[in-house]
Amino acid sequence: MNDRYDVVVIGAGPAGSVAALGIAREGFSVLLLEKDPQVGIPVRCGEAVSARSLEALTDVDPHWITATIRRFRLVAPSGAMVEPDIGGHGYILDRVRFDGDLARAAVDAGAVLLTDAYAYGLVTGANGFEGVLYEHEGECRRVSARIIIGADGVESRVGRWAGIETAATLRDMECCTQMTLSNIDTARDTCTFYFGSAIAPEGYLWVFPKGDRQANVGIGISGTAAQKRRPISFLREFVSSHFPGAVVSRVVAGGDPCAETLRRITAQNVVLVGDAARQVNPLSGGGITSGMQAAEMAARAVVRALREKRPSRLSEYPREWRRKIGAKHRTYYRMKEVVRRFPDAALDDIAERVLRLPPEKRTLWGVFKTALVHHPSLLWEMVRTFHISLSD
Amino acid sequence: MERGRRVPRDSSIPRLPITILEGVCDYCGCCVGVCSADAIELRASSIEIDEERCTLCMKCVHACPLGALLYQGTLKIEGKP
Repeated sequence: MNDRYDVVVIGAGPAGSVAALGIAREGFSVLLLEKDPQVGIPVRCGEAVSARSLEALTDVDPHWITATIRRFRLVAPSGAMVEPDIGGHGYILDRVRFDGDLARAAVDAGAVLLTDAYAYGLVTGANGFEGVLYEHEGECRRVSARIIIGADGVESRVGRWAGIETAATLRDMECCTQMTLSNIDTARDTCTFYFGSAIAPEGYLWVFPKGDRQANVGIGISGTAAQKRRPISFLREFVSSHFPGAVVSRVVAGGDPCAETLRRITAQNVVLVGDAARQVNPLSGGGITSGMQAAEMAARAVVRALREKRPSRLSEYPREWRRKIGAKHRTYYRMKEVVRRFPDAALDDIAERVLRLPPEKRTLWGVFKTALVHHPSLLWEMVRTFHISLSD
Repeated sequence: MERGRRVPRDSSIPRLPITILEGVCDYCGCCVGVCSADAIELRASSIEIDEERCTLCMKCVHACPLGALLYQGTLKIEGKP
């Protein structure tokens, strides 16, 4: 194996693999380092994506899809259920296959993939960073790179090594646990979300169907809530009351940084993408497609920087990200901040009012608008934190 | 007569009052994501807190979804119980 590459990508999740693919297919040498022994395992994800977002990024292989989602069901603390029109459809992915295929596409385009490869530092040099230090098969190695991409997820350290403050606040970190259940009865086309302080304070609990009588049942609550009671404790209680007799086939934990994008996502010749850059939709916690979109933008900027031998071209990536997605995420972040302050009684009231709307007005936006209109104090907060248009 | 406490160590570094329950930890990285001190070394199936870097801010202990990190010290930390 070479010890010199144009680009080293750290982390072979969707963002890392998409970045590696975009750069390798332009003829540059790429090394993709993955700390786990196999790409895609373990899955720390609810696995839900919007079909429209995914289809804009890639040809969707039917083997990736375990369920097609046509309905959302939002459950208020009182148990009242609202089924807003989601104006499209979504998928529950099989992330093992999905991540594996994305990494394979990068390899087919010429990238070199190394699993069981743990990056533990960057090599500093006169002009930025000269390479990456990593451990593989018990051996410490060093690889040189012209550009380094940190796609190392919520636990990212690449940014810190490059001098970027990446730590999420407890408030913003959604602390998650998920069980994959089988032998359960659940609608195959419906994602269900439970809200309320007794079920999932400062977050939500999800039930995402996964094929035949299976589902991902998970919870994400803020670090400030988690310190009072652990997510796993909430989840166990929910599963034993809602799915008695279910077979738990897998339990995973995870952190979801529901923050605004980091102020800096590049530093000299280091670029961050995906969860590492905090490019998660802070309202939903979804980060698969936004990470992949960021990776495509980053790859384009990296290719230009390599071709023109001008690292300054990398700055086109944060500009494009902010314009196309970052600004939206900023709004979603503020919405999250407001929605999180809804007390249980307000959530129940919103659910009741939405249920009185004609079905065609029961959209996600309708739910949000009802919340604002009938809780003027919250509306005021909303107006204060950002300017929102109340027209449909 | 506690066992396992007799390993000689550098007495200038206080023993970290955080215990990681290895059987409970899922190596998910939530703790690393909130650590401002870059003090946690997380591999595919091992985790270690660097005593010298750790500032005892306890964010990792609070954020762990599974409760795998335990604060067991007697140090009085301002604002913390």
